[in-house]
Amino acid sequence: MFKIITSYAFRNLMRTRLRTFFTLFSVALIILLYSVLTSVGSSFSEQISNVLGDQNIDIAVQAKHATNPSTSIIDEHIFKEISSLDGVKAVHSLLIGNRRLQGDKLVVILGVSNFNTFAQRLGFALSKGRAIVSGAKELVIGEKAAKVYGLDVGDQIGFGDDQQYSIVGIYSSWLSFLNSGLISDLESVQSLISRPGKASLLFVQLENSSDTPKMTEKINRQFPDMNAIQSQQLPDHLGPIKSVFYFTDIVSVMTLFIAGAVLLNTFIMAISERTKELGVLSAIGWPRQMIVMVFFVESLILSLTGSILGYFASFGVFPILQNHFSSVVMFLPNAPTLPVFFNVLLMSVVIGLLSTLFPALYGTNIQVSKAIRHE
Amino acid sequence: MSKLVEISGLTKVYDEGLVQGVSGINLVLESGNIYALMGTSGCGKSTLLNLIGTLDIPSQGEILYEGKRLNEMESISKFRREFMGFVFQFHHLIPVLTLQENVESALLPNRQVSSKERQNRALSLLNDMGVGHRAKAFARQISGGERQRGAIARALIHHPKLLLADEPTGNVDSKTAMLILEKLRAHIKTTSGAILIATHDPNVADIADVIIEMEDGKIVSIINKMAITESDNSSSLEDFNSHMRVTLFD
Repeated sequence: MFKIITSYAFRNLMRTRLRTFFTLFSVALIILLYSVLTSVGSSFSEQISNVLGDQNIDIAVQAKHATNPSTSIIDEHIFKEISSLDGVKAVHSLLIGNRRLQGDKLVVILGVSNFNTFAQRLGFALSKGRAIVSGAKELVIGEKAAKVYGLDVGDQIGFGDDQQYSIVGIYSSWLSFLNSGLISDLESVQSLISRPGKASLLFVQLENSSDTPKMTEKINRQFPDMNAIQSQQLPDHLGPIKSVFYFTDIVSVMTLFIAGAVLLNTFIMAISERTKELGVLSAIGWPRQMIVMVFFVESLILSLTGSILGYFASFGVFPILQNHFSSVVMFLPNAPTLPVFFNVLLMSVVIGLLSTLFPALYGTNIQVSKAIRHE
Repeated sequence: MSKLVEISGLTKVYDEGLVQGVSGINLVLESGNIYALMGTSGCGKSTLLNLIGTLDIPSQGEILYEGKRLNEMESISKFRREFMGFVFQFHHLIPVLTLQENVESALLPNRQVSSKERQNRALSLLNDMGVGHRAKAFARQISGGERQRGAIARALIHHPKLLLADEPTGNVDSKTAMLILEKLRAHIKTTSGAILIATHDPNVADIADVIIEMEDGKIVSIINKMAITESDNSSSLEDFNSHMRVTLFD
């Protein structure tokens, strides 16, 4: 039975080849957009989670009212006070800012309190040159930034006001956004972005990780202007990530609605054209659910094929995005992530079924004698 | 002969009573008979066929199928696929299915029939109808006569007790028409069912056992030819009159 129904459904789609092609094309395009957006969001979240989760960072501290880490300002005295709390093993500072490179493009610049610690924690490794020496006006540059701006070890970068820095190393990181940035010591970056004695984030390492919830609560109580978060939960609290999540969520829902509308429109037309056939099938004893199933199979063929095409087409889009936008959007992944694929499949099934349900039920609800007379 | 369908006071109106489809129909369809439903276009033949076939809902009146009301059935679709077969005036085959798949489609919802048996039955019927060689052709690729024979095979594949046919010979040549009528007659013999044929075709009237004439949505006469034949051999005019079931309704 299923063989004939599938074959019938497939041939129905082939009746109106042009319409089927454009529906498929639209669904694929929408799913491509969905794949790109959700991959960007989930990839960034994954990158941050990996850094924080695997590297023994127990608590992250950010200024309470900061919308994102680059607007978070934490004073030095807070660093010192948290460092002196019982049970705290070490506190590391990270300052995030932007500077125009050679008076031209805006780049991300990170100031780190301890290069080796952050190299390990932020997952970057020197591919050329050496590590920076604090206070020596040195910096290391990400592979992508070096390539884009044509810079190499030994080159000088000028930030104006006599602020000349030497490039002493080139690093690569599996955190793709870091590859487009610069890293120097904390004091240098504080000076470069005019935030002396400040940090954006503090990473607190505890003597005993099991004390993390208690210590988080203690820091929040003792420093009401700060927002201490257990590291595992940080991606959900970081402003830009939250914004990315909201943005991708909203656009994803919109794209799914659009895909649903495309399919709905296709099936309203199909059912209108095939009303007589539906009447004949009812007359010869096909139960309603069997007729609806034909439309479901048609819809699944369209939505699943469109989704798979869209997902794989998005592999071709990421290199283009990387080439043109990686210096602007710092967390672009190299390819759509695998969970997105399963998400796409699930969504396409749901959309396919939902968008066909209404027209199919409507089409099979017409009085059989009227349906057979339908022209 | 058993009563397959009993109709009493059947009325169908359209457009809130402005259009009368059929009115006050009383009729009994018995097994083993071919009924020819005759009358001018628009007299209500197709409406009556649709009502008996459960394709339309009566405005008034009642139809009993082997003594049961429709609402006593397990499901209408099951009832249709087990009890009834339909032959439409314009065949109404599904154009994207092959002739064989079209014939099989009437058995498709019946899970008790294996796909092998379904295929065998379909092919056998198509061969019987003289279109076995066109089994793999799509409905859109074959002639009108072949389509109509395919449509009849589709209506017979599940051995229905009641076959409803709307002008089955209306769009075919006389040779095909005769073949179709032969097959229908043969079907009656094997299933002991009944066939109700809405038609203008005098050939159909010739093979029918009972001729039902309709006018303006009403049955104006029912002529039972079997009764006439039996009465021809009887001795008196009274016998003839008592067997000849001519009913006139005003």
